[in-house]
This record gives sequence, structure tokens and C-alpha cells, in this order.
Amino acid sequence: MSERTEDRLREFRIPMMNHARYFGVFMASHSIPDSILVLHKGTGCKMKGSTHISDLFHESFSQICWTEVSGVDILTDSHAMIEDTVLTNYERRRPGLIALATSSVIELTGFDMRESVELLQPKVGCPLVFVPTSGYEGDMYDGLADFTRALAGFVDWTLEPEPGTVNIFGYPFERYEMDHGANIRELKRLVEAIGLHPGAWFLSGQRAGQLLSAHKGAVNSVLPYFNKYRKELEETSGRPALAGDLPMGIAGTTKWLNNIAAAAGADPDKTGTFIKNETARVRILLDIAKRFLGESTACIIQPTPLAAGCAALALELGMDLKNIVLLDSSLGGADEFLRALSRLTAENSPDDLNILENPSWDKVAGLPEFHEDKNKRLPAIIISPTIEMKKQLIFELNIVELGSPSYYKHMIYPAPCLGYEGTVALTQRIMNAASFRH
Amino acid sequence: MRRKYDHAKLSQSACLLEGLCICLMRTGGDFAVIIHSYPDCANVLPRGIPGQLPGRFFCTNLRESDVMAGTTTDRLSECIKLVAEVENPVAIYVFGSCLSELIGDDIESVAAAAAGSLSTPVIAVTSSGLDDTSQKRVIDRHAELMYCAAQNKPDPQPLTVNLIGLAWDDGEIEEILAGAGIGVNVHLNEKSPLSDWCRLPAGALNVVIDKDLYSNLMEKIKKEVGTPFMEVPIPTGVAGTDSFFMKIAGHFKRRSEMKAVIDENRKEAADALSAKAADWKGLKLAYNIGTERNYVPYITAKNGLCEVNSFRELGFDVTLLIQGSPEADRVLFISRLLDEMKITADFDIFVDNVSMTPALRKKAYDLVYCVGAMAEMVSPAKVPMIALGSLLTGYRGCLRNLALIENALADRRE
Repeated sequence: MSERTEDRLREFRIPMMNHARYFGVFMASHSIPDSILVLHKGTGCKMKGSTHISDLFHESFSQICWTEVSGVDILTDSHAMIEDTVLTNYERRRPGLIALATSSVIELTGFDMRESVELLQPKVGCPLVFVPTSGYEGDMYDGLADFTRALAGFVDWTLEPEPGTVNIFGYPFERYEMDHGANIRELKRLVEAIGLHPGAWFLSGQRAGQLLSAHKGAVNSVLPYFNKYRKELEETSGRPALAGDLPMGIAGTTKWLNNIAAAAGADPDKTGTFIKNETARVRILLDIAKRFLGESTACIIQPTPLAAGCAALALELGMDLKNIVLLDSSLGGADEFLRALSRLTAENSPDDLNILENPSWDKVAGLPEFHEDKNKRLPAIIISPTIEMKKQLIFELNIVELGSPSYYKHMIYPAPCLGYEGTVALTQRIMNAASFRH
Repeated sequence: MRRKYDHAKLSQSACLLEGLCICLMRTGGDFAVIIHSYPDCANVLPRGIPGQLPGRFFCTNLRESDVMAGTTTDRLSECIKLVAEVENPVAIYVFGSCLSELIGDDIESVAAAAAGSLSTPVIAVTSSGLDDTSQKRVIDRHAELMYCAAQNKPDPQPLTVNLIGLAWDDGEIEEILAGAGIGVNVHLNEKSPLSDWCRLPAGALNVVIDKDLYSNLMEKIKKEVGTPFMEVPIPTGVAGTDSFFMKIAGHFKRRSEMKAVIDENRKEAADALSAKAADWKGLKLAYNIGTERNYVPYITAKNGLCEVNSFRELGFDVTLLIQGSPEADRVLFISRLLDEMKITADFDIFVDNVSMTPALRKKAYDLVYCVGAMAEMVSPAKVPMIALGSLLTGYRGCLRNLALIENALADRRE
């Protein structure tokens, strides 16, 4: 069989991260506890969202309602079905916002969801957030960014900001467990420690009302997941929108905090002292971890921004990097990963780094870190979300399950990966994974 | 006019593509699946099932330009040939989608044409989500598709049964049947690998807990192999387990042998059950259905109600807590359906997940039997719960079930 035949088949293989725009919208809606998501989709489409979030604190299917459109329905009156579902659920639940999504198949019939939403908006007392979710292209991070952008469109930016208040845009809040909860808490701690105030944080488990009061924010800090709309946000909000990588590792966190401090007018002395104390504290712990980890290798399988953050931390810990797998199609790929890495750490990245951009499962299974024969396997700490692999490998590999989706690992105790606390906590998890080898 | 609940009865309606993908993701085997749609439809695949690899699944990943240019079937044809050539699977299943249905792709003809020159069987299924179906139809189609991959049809072996749709147990069912001289050819459920399904033709009797759950499979096997199907009660509780074994034994004219084996095995469970039934007499149990699409046969069988009698045997006063539309004609529909099924029970309807809490507060329930994922809704009502599907089968399972219920009720007393 020729290599060309295999290459042609690759076009039809399912990539490791195949969540499309709709899943991003679902995830965003799940992150706002008083929202509901109305689906004008076929009955099977429900599962494209709810089955992929594993949240022990808040069931993922509790906020969706659907028209359960069938072949006959799309030939009759889609608007009537949507109106019925939206009005009934608005009356019953009194949500803070209603998100709406439809499918490309229904759009193909010529139905205009926007028109339907415009007709319905005056009849309900909360924002109707419609986000187109093409089934043909785009990934979950496109959906997440599109939802955030649509929601931010309801903020009245003409109102006066409150000095020192910081909004965040682009946090991929997947679930209410204590991984994400602890990340949010840590970022708040950092902002408050330098005398600033957390405002509306898109998305963080805040209720719709709090998000819609984003006008109070004097500065918008934009994480990479929302970067594609950063300039637009700056223009529409009339407030500075700061681009930044994920605050991971000592250097990455320090950079993120310094940027915010400068833009929001934080007291430089207070900021400097806080950062100095925190970095000194964390560095002592990381030095201990470095001795424990030796020259371990890390294999990172994450969306581009998180991959860059994890890689930066791994390099700060003196670990080697061989293979990086990027789980997205919208966040910049290998070039952006390398740029982000160089911004996040002063450490040099290895010359022989192999970066795969959202490959199919079989390609990842072919990496030396996943070799079925133990003797031929490259020993490594794998930092990845839940990924499918042969049963035996699940028990043999040293995995830190991080990011989305996370089916096996659940958190009832704070386990952040962002900020200084996240640096320590993620290092601890890396050490735990490494300890299986000792 | 067909109403949405007519086909799904007391459970949720389903999408055949989604349902079959979920079933096949759980099924081990060297087969391949092609989803003919745009990339988003591959999202119906459940992920994170230990040991089950998505590498067997492919998608034609249709682009908007393919739809506009009318080249969608070319992509399907190419995909089938490439999968056969590179992967060489034992079977290729091709599933249609809402998109392929709407644009009128005849996937069966495309699959047949592509398969012409291949040695691999290519089985196409028109599985649009727009034509919604029921969980039990999905379970049936899955079983049928598995059976279709069986190329060899060995002669049925005398005194053997195929157990179809029952949960696996600790081996007690096989032991007891063997004690009466009856062998188990294969025990199949939603987790069985393809290779096990291919052994179906060698069983002399097909045992199911709901014939309606396997009507397509039954028709195919009867036509091609001729082996009969028998419906038995689910073997949970003592009465259910007794009846399960005696009915199978009756088919093989081995009732007296079976009676002797059962008598040896049932005593401990029967005694324990009598004692507990006296303690629990009159306790109120909410039996939840219609909340989850899981495509698990023993949960879906008999419209989800096959374990009602097991709770009644324990003394519980059972109320059915049914999720779905509370419209008057549905209430009437449910009443008629329960009459047809000869189930006399009160029922209450709640619209959606979040309405379960108030529904539980309406009556002072002592216990709720519901989908595990509903714990968040059950907790505020302060009713102890046991998860749907957690009852074990057989006499040994009965003892374990008593302990499970006792522990749950102890929470209530605290």
C-alpha cells in the first residue's frame, strides 16, 4: 500500500479533537449557571454537547431544551417551534439569558434563525444570544469565542467603567469542579493582591447579570481563546484589550500580571513586592521538584495556548520535550505555539521538537511515548485531556489528565494550573505522575 | 397524526446515527464505521470509553462546497475504498445523516457500487436524525448489524441458548443453566464484541427479555437460521429469577432438572427477601423512566419497566416517575400503554430534568430508582436514590440488591 493511499485516508480520519463550534457554544452556556440553551436541531445533536462534558458538580444536560425538530417539522414552521420552546422555558425558568443554536442542515432549508431571534427578543426579558454553529468548519474554540463575542454584544459599554476593575475574556470554563474553580480563584487572588478588582469574567461560572455588567471593567484582559476578537472588543468597548498568553509557570504568570497591573494602573511597588514574594516562594518549591524530576521527558497534548503554558512550565522544571500535539484547528497551530512558548519562558525550546497539529488518533498512537512494547517506549509524562488508548496503556503510562475533556479525573480539591498556585499544583501533579516510575 | 412519543413510548426519541455510533463505540471488533456527513456529526461519538478506540471511525467530512457542487457521494465512494484498502476491516458500516438525507444521497447504492470490487462487506444504513427513532429500534438495528457481519452460519448446537440483552453477571446464570444440562452459546449485551455476535447462529434458542426489542434481529435469524426466540422475565429478584430459569428449562423439557438446581441455589436469597419485604412493606418508591438515552437493552426493555416487579416483590409501593410531555393526550397514551402491559401503578409526569426535584417532593418517597446522573436533582428532595441499572441478576445478585437498598434506606433514616 502506498504512503499516498494512507495520506488520502487521513482526510477521512476523525481528528483527536473533533469538537465543532456547537460544542463550544454548549460549553459556554453550561458555564453560565442561569442560562438555558435552546437547540433547534435534530434529537441526536443534543449528544454532541452534553456527553462530552463530565462535570460531577453540575450535570451538563440540565440547562438544555430543544425543539427536537424532525424532517416534517422543517418543512412546516420552525419559527413557531422555537417561539414555543423559548417562551415556555422563559416562563418556567426565568433564565438570565437564553442561548440559541441550530444546525447547518436546518439552515440549508433556508430557515433564517436570526430573523426568528429578532422577532422573539422583545417578548422575553433576557438576552437571546444566537450563535451560528456551522457543522462544516471551525472547532469548539471558535464556538466559545463566537458565543463570548455575541454575549459581549449585549453589554452597554457606554456606561462608565470603575477604575481598577479588570474583565477577563476567553477562559474556557468547562465545568464547575475544582480544577476550573481553583483557576478562577487563583486569577482573582492575583488581581486582588495588586489592589485591582475582578469584574466580569468570560467565562467563569458567573451568572448572566454579572457578565452583562462588564461595562464596569476598565481593562479587558484577553486570553488566547478570545484573541481573534481582541481588536473588535477594544473598538466596541472603548477600553484597552490586553493580549496575553495563559498565565502559566513563574515567568508566564509574572508577565500576565505585570501587563494587567500596568494597564489598570495598579501600584507598581505593591505589584513588584507581591510578584517578588510569590516568585521566591514558588521557585523554592520548583527547585525541589526539579531535583525529583531529573531530566524527565514531557509529551504535551493540549490546545495551542494550554500546550504552550504546559511546555513553558515543563522547561522551567528542567524537563525535556520531544512531542507536542496541538488539539485545535483555530488557535494558531505550531507557529503560534512556538511564539507563545518564547513569550512564556526564557528557557530554550529543544531544536528537535516535533509538533503535530490536531492529528488523528492513529498518528498519536504511533508516537514513541505510546509504543505498546514497554522496551521500545519513550518514557514520558503525558500531559493531556482524556484520550483514547488501548486498555493496557492506560495503566502503564504516566498521565496528568488536564484540560478538556476530562472523563477520568475529577476534582473536589483545588487543583489549578494557572497562576503561581497553579504552577505549584500542576508541578505536584507532574511529580505524582512521575512517582509511578520510582 | 403521529405524535413524537408514539414510537418512543415511555422513553426518549433517538437519532439512529447517534444511537448506532454510541453502540458501536462500545462494541469491540475489527470493523470500520463511516459517517457520511459534515465533521460536526462525528461529535456524536462518545469519547473516553476505556479501551475503545475511535480509530475505527471515519467521516466523509463533507464541506459546504461538496454539497453545492454535488460531489458528496464521490467522497463517500472514495472513503469506502480507502478504508477497505488501508484498514482491511471485517465489515464496513456506512451511516447516513440529516445532511445526506436532506440532499438526497442514496448511500445504499453508493455503498453497493463501492463494495462491488471489495472483499469486505459494506453495510449501509439510512440513519438520518431528522426521522427520529426510538432507543429500542437503535438497540435492534445494532444487533442486526452485528449479526449481518457473521459470514459463517454454523448449525445450532442442541441444548444451547443465546442470552441476548441481559447484563453480564458473576457466572451464576451459566452455572445454573449448566446444572440443568443447558449450555450458554453466547451471552450478548451492549458491551459484547463483534466476534461474540457472530456466534449467534450456533445457539439453539434465543432468549430475550423483550421480543419487541429485537424484532429485526428475530426476523433475520428466523429466516436465515430458523432458531426460535423466547421472551423471559428479567432475572432480578427471586420470583423473576425462578421464572427466568423455569421458562428456559420448559423449552428444553428440563423443568424437573431445573427445579432441583434452583432449589439448591435460591434458599438464602428467598429467606432474606421475605424478611426484608416484611420490613419494607408499603415504602414508597419512585421509579424513574424516560430521562436517559443509554441504549442499554436491559434498561430499555419493556419500555423501561422490567424491574418494577422486582421492587414490588420487596414490598415497595411503586409510582412511575416519567419524564416528558404532560399533555392530556400523552397522559391518556401512557394509561393505555400501562393497561396493555398489564402494569397497575400510579404515575407522575415531569417535564425535564430540573422538574424532577419538585416531582419528588410531591409525595413523601422513601426511595428513588433513577438515572445516576440525576443525583444533582434528587439531592435537594432528600430522597435516597439507587442508580438505574444497578440491580444485579440472579439469586446472588438478589442478596447484593437487598444490601444496596438497605444501605440507601439507612441514609434516609439518618
